Amino acid sequence: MKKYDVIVIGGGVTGANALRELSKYELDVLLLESNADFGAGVTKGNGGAVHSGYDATKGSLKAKLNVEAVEMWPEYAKDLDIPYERLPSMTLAFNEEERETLEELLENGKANNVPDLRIIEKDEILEIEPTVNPDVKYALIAPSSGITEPYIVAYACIENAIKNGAEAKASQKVIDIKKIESGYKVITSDSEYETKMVVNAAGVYGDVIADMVNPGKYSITERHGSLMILDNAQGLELKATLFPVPSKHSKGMAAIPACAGNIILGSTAEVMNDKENHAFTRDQSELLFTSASKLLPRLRRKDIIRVFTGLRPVEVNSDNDFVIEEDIDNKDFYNAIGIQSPGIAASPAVGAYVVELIKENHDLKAKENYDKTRKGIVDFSELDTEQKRDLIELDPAYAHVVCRCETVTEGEILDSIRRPGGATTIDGVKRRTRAGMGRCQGGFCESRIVTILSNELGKKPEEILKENAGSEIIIGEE
Amino acid sequence: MEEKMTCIVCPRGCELTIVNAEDVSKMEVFNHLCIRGKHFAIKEKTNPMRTITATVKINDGKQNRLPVRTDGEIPKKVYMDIVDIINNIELKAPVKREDIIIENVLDTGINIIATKSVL
Amino acid sequence: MIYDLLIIGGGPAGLSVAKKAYETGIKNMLVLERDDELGGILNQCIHNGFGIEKFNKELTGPEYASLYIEDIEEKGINYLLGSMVLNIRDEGEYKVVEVASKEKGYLELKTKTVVLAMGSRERTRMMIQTPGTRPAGVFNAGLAQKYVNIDGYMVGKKVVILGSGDIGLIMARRMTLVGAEVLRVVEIEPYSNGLSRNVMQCLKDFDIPLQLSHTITEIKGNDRVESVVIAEVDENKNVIESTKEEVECDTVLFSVGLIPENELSTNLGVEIDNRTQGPKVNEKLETNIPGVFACGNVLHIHDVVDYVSDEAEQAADQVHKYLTDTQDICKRQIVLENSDDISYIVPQTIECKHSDIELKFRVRKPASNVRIILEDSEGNVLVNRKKWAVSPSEMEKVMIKGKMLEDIKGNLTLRLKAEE
Repeated sequence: MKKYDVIVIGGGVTGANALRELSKYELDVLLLESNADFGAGVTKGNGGAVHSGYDATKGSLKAKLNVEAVEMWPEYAKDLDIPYERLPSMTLAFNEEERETLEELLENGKANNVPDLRIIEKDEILEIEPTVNPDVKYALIAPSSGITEPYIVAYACIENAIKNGAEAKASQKVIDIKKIESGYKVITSDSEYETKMVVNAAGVYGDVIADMVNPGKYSITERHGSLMILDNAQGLELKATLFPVPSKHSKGMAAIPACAGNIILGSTAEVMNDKENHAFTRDQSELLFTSASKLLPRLRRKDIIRVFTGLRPVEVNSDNDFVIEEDIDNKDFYNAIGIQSPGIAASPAVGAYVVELIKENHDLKAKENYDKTRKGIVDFSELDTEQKRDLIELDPAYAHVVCRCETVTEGEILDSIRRPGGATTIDGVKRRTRAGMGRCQGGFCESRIVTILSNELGKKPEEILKENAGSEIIIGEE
Repeated sequence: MEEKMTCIVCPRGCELTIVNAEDVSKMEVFNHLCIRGKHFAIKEKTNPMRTITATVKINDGKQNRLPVRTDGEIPKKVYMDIVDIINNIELKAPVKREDIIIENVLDTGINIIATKSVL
Repeated sequence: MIYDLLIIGGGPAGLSVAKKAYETGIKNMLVLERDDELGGILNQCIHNGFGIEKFNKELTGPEYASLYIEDIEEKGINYLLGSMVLNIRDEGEYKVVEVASKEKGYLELKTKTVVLAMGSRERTRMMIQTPGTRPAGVFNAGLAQKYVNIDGYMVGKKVVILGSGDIGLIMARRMTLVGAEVLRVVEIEPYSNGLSRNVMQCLKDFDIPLQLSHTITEIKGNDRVESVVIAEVDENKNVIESTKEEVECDTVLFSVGLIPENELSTNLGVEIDNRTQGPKVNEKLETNIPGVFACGNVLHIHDVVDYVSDEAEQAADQVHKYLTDTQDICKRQIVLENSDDISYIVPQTIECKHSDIELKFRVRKPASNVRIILEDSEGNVLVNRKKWAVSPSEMEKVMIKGKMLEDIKGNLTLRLKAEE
């Protein structure tokens, strides 16, 4: 049995960033993901805003890591070829009372060292984003915020880590962890692994994993948030992420211009204490649309493409803060849990922070030939004519458009499957290439992708999954 | 006994009322706006006929299924029996449109024919 | 090389345009089809009922398509399969069509005219925001039809269908014939959206219940569909809570309407009508961009494919006139409007006064014993026709005589009037 130095449990943005940071050092590291694909848990149910950090409680770990990470993002995104755009956020106030909240946020943000924060007035707001509701009076503008695609962050980190010698395995649900002399034995439903250290980045299951070595120490509750994707058929080019003045538990129903050009509305926030409930209700989808419409009156119902629900893991005894610490009773068992919003924004710093904790106990030797870069899947639809020609010349699979709504070619889909840590499911292909994410929601391309996956993976079409085990698309031949 | 039936002869969709449906000699049809509705109701009650369309498995072709149909109407009462027969056929490409797949299926005098060429 | 005509789409509309255009003398044309065969959606519509108007016989979808495809082969009309049009640019006298072709790579084709014949796509579960989880086993009816009829795969065993349009009804029968149990068809309207013939032959023949004024209020199951909650709705489509009922199933098919597929048109600068969601056209089926025509489901959703072919032939005739400089000379623009009980009317404008024009429209609700009235701004009646019954599931047509158009005052409005 191969023995690892570190096993990371959880292949979302937190675990993936930790894996990438660890792969910089002379360590045998392995990431275990319970789902059939990485980034398919907490990470996928997210709007993709890279928050600037003005609203995290001052002095919290969350605030520190968020603001640190915002500094890292431009270079980080470039190294990993992750879609990222620096785009200001504006928190919109419609009356004097809401302005008071903006003042509080401004003060909090300054204490958190968020750069260039200020309150602006109507004329400037409308100059930045003319489609905002003209009843707006003030806005807190945060120029350092941005947007990204959360699961691409996870894929990019894992691909880069694999390139630097790390391993990552999906469909490995950890069912028990035993303390052994040399560290820990991690038991999954079909395998066992020995490791010196464990990093627990298991999202909503963070408490379940922590319980395996220290029962009852942590408790995660789930805050459910529904989001809505709008087809940007009317070509709104938002120049800022728009937030209403926040309530206690939510930044409110934001309108986020997604990297791919859609508009994402979200999210709602309801504590439900259910780790598997991804259902959305009629009330939530109504709330999303009506409250976002207050910020952006031009939104149209007919542009709704999709509603989905994500889970935010909240550690109940930590005052809404991230919990990133070594287990008090178990040496070299590191928890990175309760990573709720702004978990995406903070993730590069979270990964680095986990390694800092490990460094307090161990001397880590940096790899000499570490390569910090990763190249993403080409986006055919974004290429100019010459580039399209060249690419097709090189590989005719790029001349075969499989997804018509998002213009995704067979070449891109094959790449998404063939690269390390690649897609093995319909949703995995969708998240990596956007095939099936458009207005027809896979009506045209899904059956074609089933065929491609089945050929590439050497599986029967009826074995191809949408997402996890039990989600076969078709049930067999007629 | 009285029975209701929607006439499907034309888009007008008359809601027909049929009296004595169980006995052809005494059957009466009401609420039809034209004579075709009456004929339709009598035929539906005495000897309803249907066309079957389906697909059969085809090997070594450009696609996995060959669409087929009956080349005329068959009595409704043997519908599912014929479907069962169709569901259990396996062919080898090429098959051309209008090729007879099964001749005189269940002695109905009707053939199952291909509705597309699969090469 | 400059084409006279590029046809975007090789489904029923595109094929009919090609055939007719050839007959008018246009030879320098190309049909662009994204799939690996011609015929479009007809290939998966293996049921019969096509061709009654056009060929006076009952054909299946593949047979209807074959009649055109065989003709196109015989005439030697050029077509390119596996070719996705990525963009169309208007460069005045010429249009440039950007194509990714499996066989020929990336192409930019120059043409004098374009016929938009891209057809439609299905409305999705998400567009109507059916709440619940997002498991496998939720299909648009048309996708399920492709899996079953073309690929030969079963998509599920216990099926609930939402929407009683013809695709939903046809799939209820089809799923039954391949061995699935169709538990019920659920329709939010108080009437079926399909032809009564399909209600009878696809549902009643197989004892499949049709629940009118009902909808699915929730989909359950994390990986695969486990059940749906079905409830009755009141006249305002609000769910009546006390009627909620959970039905175990593994598959839900959505048949909730079609939407013209106009992203290429929009990028080209073609004006879209909010009522049809298709291009605004004049009586020549020409869009606001000269030389760009539209027909078939990309223009408005048809009920019968035969009418798609008719419309496509009209478009081909107009392309021929455009190319030979024999288009009718137009001096003004009459706008066609409709009352609230009519959901749309095509064409949206009339420019020329001397040709006979066929108006196509759909009503919003079923009605019987009505008059269809077309009048101008001063109340002069051009059409006054009695109809026994009208239904949103059927496309209606009325003819205006060319000579009647000569003295129109202002614009035209189409409305329904209840017959006393």
